[in-house]
Order: sequence, then structure tokens, then C-alpha cells
Amino acid sequence: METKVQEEVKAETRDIQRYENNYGYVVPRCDIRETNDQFILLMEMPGTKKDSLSVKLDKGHLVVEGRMVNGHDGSLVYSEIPKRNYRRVFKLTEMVNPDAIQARWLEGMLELTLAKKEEVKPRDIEINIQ
Amino acid sequence: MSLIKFNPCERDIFSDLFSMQKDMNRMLSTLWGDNRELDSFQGWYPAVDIAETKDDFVVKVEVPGMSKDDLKIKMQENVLTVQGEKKQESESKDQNYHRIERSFGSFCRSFRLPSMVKADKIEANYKDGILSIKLPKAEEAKSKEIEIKF
Repeated sequence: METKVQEEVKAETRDIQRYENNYGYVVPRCDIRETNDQFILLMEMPGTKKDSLSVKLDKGHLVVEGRMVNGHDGSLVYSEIPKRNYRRVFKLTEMVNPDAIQARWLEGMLELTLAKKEEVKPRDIEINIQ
Repeated sequence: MSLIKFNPCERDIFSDLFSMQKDMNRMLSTLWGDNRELDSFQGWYPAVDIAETKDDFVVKVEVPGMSKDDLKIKMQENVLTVQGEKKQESESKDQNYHRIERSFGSFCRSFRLPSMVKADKIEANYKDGILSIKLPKAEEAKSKEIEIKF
């Protein structure tokens, strides 16, 4: 039996593929995880490099773009790698501090660290029992 | 000269039939505008480009987020095999995943090259998530220009 969440993920993946076909760019696959202090986005963007990447903040949206650098000598005899650029837009939640976004390039993957605002971080409250 | 997708890891009459059935299903689901193959697809395999120059073949494999130790390249006769395993980082307790779109697991892909290569001169590089394998052609496979005498 499939859970509702799994079905939703599949439907979203189908949407991603439709986007790619309609808009002419590759939507990088992304893992999103949350810790107490931050959200971590890990995106697969092989074929681009550090200088060809851009991360922009636009009206509460995080826009990630990467230009494909695929120069090859000679002629292609077999090809599966799309010759298109990467683009993906994320809507930021109110929880994220827009001034504390960090990006790291890890050999084909872009890691974005979005720190949460101080006031939304979970904190431990000490209970004094008298 | 053309290259055909070849997978030595699963090679029998049934897998051929199954893959034929899969192809048919894919064709039909494209007609209905529905991508059902996702439901049946279990593993992943990286996308590959192969380029040919006068002196060598260059095979590029998209393997982001993998380390050198996770990848293995083998050359036997004229068949190049690239194997690897993409591992998911171990989940720690204070992390919740909202979304997992990346694929993990092992893959194995093989390519029969159309001409002889120098097996001892193969070079492999890993940069920006792309594994490039350079295979120099053997002398007898290189194209030669022939001078016309008159």
C-alpha cells in the first residue's frame, strides 16, 4: 500500500518532468532536510561549475540557476545528457532568515543552507520544580 | 558507426522481453500523457555522452555526489564497464527530510566501443560531478590520410 505522501512525491516528480519539457530547462533534483536551526537543500547539478552558478533572492523566492558547460572535442557518437541549463525556484517560508543563506559547491552538487530566524528556532525551556 | 546500449548485468531472454514490455508501456503512457514508468522504475543509472575525435573516445558519465572510491571502471576486450554506488548520507536523529528526489543505489553500465583502444592508456577524471574517461584509439584504428600520387 502506498501512502499519500509517496503518491504526492510521484505526482510532483511528474510535474517536474512536464516543466522540463515545456520550459526548456532542467530542474535539478533536490533533497530538503530540516534541523533545529536550519533547512539544508542539496541539489544535483552535474555538468555546471562554480563560476556558472547563480543563487538569487527575489521577492521571497530563491532562484537557483546553473549554466551547462559541456564542451567536448570531436563529434558526439552517443548522447543522453541534456544540453540545457538548470533552473529551480523555491518559495521561502517566513521561518528563514534571508540574510543568512549560504551556498557550497560540492563536486556536482549545490548545497544551500538556510538558517532559521532566531524566534522560530525550537528551544529548551528549563522547568524548575519546586 | 553506432553505439548500442548494452547491460551485461542482466542479460537473458526474459530481461529482453521485460525491457520490450517496458518500452511498449512507456510508448503507451506517453500517448496518454501520463508518465507511469516512474511507478515501476526501481533503480537509477547515470546519463552518458560519448564523443569521438581522431585519436580517442571520451566517455562522460553524470555522477554527482559520488567519491572516487564509489566508482569502478573496467575495460575488457572492447567493452567499457562503469560501475558505482551512490550512498545516502546516514540520517541523524535531529534531521527531518521534507523531500528526497535524488536517487541512490548501485548502477552498472557497459558500452561496446566501435574500435580497438589502448587499454593501458585509459585516463579517468572526476570533476564537477562528471566522470570523464579518455580512451586513446589503437594505432590500427586511427584514420589515416592517404596521399594520392600522380
